[in-house]
Amino acid sequence: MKGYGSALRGGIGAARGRYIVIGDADDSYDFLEAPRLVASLREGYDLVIGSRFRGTIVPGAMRWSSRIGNPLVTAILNLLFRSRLSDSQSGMRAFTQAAWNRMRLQSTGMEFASEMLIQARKAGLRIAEVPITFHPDRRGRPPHLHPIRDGWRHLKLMLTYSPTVLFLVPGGLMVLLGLLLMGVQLLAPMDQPLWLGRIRMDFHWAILGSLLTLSGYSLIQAHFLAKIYSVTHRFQEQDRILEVGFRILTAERVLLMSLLAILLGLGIDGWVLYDWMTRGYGALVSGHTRLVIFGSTLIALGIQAFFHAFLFSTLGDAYKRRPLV
Amino acid sequence: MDEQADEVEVSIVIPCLNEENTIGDVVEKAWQALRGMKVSGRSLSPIMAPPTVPLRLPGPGARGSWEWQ
Repeated sequence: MKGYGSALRGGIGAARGRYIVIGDADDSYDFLEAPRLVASLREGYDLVIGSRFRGTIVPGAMRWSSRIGNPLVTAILNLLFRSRLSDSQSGMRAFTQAAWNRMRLQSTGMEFASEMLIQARKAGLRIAEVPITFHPDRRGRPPHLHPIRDGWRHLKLMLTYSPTVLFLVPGGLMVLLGLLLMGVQLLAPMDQPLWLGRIRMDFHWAILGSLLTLSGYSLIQAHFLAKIYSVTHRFQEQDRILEVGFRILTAERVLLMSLLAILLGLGIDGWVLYDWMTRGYGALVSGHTRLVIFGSTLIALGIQAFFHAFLFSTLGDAYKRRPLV
Repeated sequence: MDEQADEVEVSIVIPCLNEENTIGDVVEKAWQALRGMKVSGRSLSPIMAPPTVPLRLPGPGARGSWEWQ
């Protein structure tokens, strides 16, 4: 058993109490304050956090890096998971055995603290904060915390638990921007570059648009893969978008759409080839290049979607067969 | 699991690594808190890595794990 999360999971798994209190062994948290946390559980809360920022931080108890890092991590967690916590990294907490069973935590390291709050939010648990006092630890050794490494592990965990923010939002924005860049290029006359007022936008912008579209599409695919993994491995109960997606975007429909995209792309590229031949195999104008970029992007998207249709069909079967909670 | 164990109301879990200088006081405070709450309680101390110094714990029980009723 190695790591903060592993140690706690092992201990909590062996605990038999209806209420469970956790806290560090370095005497920085005062267990004499534990009854106030347990009192909140008795009032009906499922998880109670001892908040140092709503309570007292004794001078010398918290390093400056933690004074900056803790509120930052808490703010990101509040933003991503719509909570209103003041101290997401507090090590002093109390929760019911029933709440623990619903959270199903996996983390082995320090990010255990964030995962507990994320899972509690996802499970719809009632969370409260109780002000506590944070004391300097008396071990006489350097702290276990590594601000950069641990901060990154918390951030990585939060993003992993939020595939919409990690994949779907940037992916969607990239596809929209990419299509816009390619689309406006098609408005220009064949033998001239695009002029937006006094700004000349040559076909290079269409290349950037193609890159963004293809990359964004990959991110959107990653979003749905992450969601399927999350549901089939019971990190979350269900996902409404996935349910609708599997119902509407059947493998047959996606295959048909991908073939249409490939055919349209081949048609565009084929027309450019034909036009080039009829012009006596000479130089092409910028309009041809723009069309080839657009057509080739459609072909690439179509090929990806064609094969992803089979992959998602297989994963969709696993999704439908997932054990009911 | 015996009937008495089922009655445990509060468990206190304290992860340890190298806190051999402070764990005794921390457990003592946890014990006081449990007595103050007038509940049957339990305190466990899972060890992340072998401690460099043997723990001297208050109360009954072997290293790192003990229980009050």
